[in-house]
Amino acid sequence: MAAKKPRFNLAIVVLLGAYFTAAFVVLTRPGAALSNDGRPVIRIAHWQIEAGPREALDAMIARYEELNPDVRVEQVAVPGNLYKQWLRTQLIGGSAPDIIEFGSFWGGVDDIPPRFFDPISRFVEEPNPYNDGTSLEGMKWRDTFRDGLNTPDAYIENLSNYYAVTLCMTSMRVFYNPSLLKEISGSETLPDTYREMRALGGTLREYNQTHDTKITLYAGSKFTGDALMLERMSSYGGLGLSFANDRFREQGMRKRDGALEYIRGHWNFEHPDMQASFILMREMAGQLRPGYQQMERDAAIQEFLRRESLMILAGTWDATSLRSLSPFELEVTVFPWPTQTDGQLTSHYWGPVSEGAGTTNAAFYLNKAGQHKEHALDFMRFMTGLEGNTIFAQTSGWLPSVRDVEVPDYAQSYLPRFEGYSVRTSYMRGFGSETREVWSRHMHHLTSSNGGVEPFLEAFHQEFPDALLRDLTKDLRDVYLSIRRDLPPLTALTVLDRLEGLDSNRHRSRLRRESNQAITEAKLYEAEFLMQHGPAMDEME
Amino acid sequence: MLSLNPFRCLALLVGAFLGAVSVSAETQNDLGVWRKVSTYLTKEALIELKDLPSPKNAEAQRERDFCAAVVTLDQQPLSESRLDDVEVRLQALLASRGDDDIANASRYLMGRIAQIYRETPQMDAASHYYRAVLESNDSDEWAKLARVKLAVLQLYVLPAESRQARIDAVLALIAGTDDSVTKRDLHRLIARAGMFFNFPPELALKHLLTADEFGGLQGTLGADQLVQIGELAIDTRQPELSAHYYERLREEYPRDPRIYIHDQRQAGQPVPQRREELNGR
Repeated sequence: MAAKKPRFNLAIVVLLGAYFTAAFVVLTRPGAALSNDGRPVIRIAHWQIEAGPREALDAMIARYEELNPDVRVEQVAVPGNLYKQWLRTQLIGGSAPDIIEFGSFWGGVDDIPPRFFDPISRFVEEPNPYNDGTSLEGMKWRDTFRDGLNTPDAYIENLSNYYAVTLCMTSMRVFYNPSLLKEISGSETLPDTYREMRALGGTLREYNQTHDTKITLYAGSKFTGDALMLERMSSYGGLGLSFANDRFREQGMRKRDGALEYIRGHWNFEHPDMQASFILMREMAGQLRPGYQQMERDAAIQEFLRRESLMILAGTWDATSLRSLSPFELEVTVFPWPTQTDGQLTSHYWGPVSEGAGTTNAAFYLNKAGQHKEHALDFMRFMTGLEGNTIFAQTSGWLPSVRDVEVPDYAQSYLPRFEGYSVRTSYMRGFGSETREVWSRHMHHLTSSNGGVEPFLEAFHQEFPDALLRDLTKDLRDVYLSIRRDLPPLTALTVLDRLEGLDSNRHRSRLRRESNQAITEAKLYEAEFLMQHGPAMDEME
Repeated sequence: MLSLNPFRCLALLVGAFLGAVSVSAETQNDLGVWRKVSTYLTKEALIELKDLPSPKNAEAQRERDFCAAVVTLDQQPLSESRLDDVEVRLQALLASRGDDDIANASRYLMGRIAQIYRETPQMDAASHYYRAVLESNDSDEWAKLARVKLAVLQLYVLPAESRQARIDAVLALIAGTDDSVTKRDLHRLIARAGMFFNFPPELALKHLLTADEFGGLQGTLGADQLVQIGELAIDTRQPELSAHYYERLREEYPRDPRIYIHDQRQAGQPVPQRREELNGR
């Protein structure tokens, strides 16, 4: 034992030496935290590791440093599956970057903005100096965004403040292989009606038989399958049903309203519209490769790039990756979802469907504990100024968030289509995790070759009503928690008005939140009332 | 009786000034805690509260005790015993004085605890506290809030002979206030309940139109209300009224895609329809 000790010590010394050498190199390289070139270093963290955004940020940084040679900016790209945990660790440890991409859609992160980010309300009400000399000169910073920063991640209603600026817009599009399409159908252009799309499916089947190939119409994965069928075919097909039960006259049932109307006995999955949608979904599933539900999104991209499928439904965030990886020229268009004129089984498909209000995405926040907040804010202004956002859009291939930034020709088709009916009810995924799980577990009854609508509904109906009640119960529990969580802050705002004197903005914001809460509580008790009385409530005097 | 000796007057004025400064300074200490509570910084508020110097007079102590009750309510885990603790604090504030802002705030908070914090909601107790708020001072900020909370309970929770009785109870609450925001919110609640309880659409339309006269709604609520009036006007066969409100939607919320259905109607195109049963039995 004694003879081995010196060798062990030597190993420790070598390892420590290597560690400190590496640490010295990393920490003192130009621009690093311990860089001694004297310039403040601004770090910006994000999870956009697809092709495009990182290069775009590099280009923006290069231009910014040209304009501001006394500041250095670094980007920190962290993969999305690690980002949430990584960020919380960094924030708690006090070592988080100065500018941080963040999204409330992660869930369970509502504490982060008030605790770790600075509100930027007073800044977004002022013009962005990087827009001087442009068409946006003199305009309030928030008004320079395509959506006026009217998105929940930029303006956080519960905190009555703007917290973030956004970098881009996104949409879902179909990317297809025109040369393969021509080989199969004789045309390089994708059909622009669903009727023709179904016909193309038939043509492809014949092609596969005659050429002994297994090319699919749609690249398959759980993501693309869900996006095609659960999120769209069923929801779009249920639009009329949603309008029929539009009790509160808002143009369709929202999530909880849909659940309550089901409990009230006003719709179910036997409805002809839903039945027809199921048949179309089953038909669509036959155009994806077998086992697609077990595949990740990357597998679908590979399938498409290997020319094993004609097209892929993807977010425009994947557009640059697809373009750069594709060995063939690809085309992009809006998927031709069914409309009433598309023949058999589509008479209940009201169209076109709106892709929403065109809100902007990729929200960036200012770290409250940042060492160089003035510089960080300045970089946020630059990247969302006309020049900075133009650099971002041109380099990344993504849609810009800022008005008057030119959208390249190839990206025109990415722009969200505003006109159309609003889809407010997601029948398959919208009610909560319990019903979603039932869907996932029984989906194969609908989509497998020996399945069908009847076997699916038979299995599904046994579990859906109870699962819906569990989802509703959880939903209501969350509402209680949310109301409880808001009471102390709302009380504090009322007290502050008394102690400090009335602040009109604060007062107005509080009243708005109280008004929201009144309706929220009404909805809560409507649900409890219905869970207690069920369909019998329609007979009450 | 006090004589008007100039020195005595000066001494009183100086005393009053110093007292006011003292209360104000004490209050200043609490402001930081309230600001933290207002932005959901619960733990930080508790730490700051514990670090504050003790108040030097009864008025400031009362402010501090109220602040401590709210901060305690905001801590996790939220157990029944913690709620009991907060309630004891609020009851003590009420017992020592029943006619100031803190007293009414305490009544209101006890109503909220009974209604939304307790494992088993105590709706009768909640409505009792809200009514006590209204009886004590029917126009302060707490009364405005309590009136709306009571309305929600009367519409959906408290026993009532009929659907109409629920609506009538809220109409009585509207008659008892002059505050425009409260009136607006109560009219909106009646409209919503009217649709929930299958009343003919005329009821909801009437109350939403009244709510609209008060104005002040922004964001999603504002857009929703314009759509609701537009749709209820269709259900009551008033296409011009519907068009007016949809044009307002276009003007005030140009990015709201729900304008599409109006454009389709204007163009004479078929649009999805509501079930006729929703328009009352």
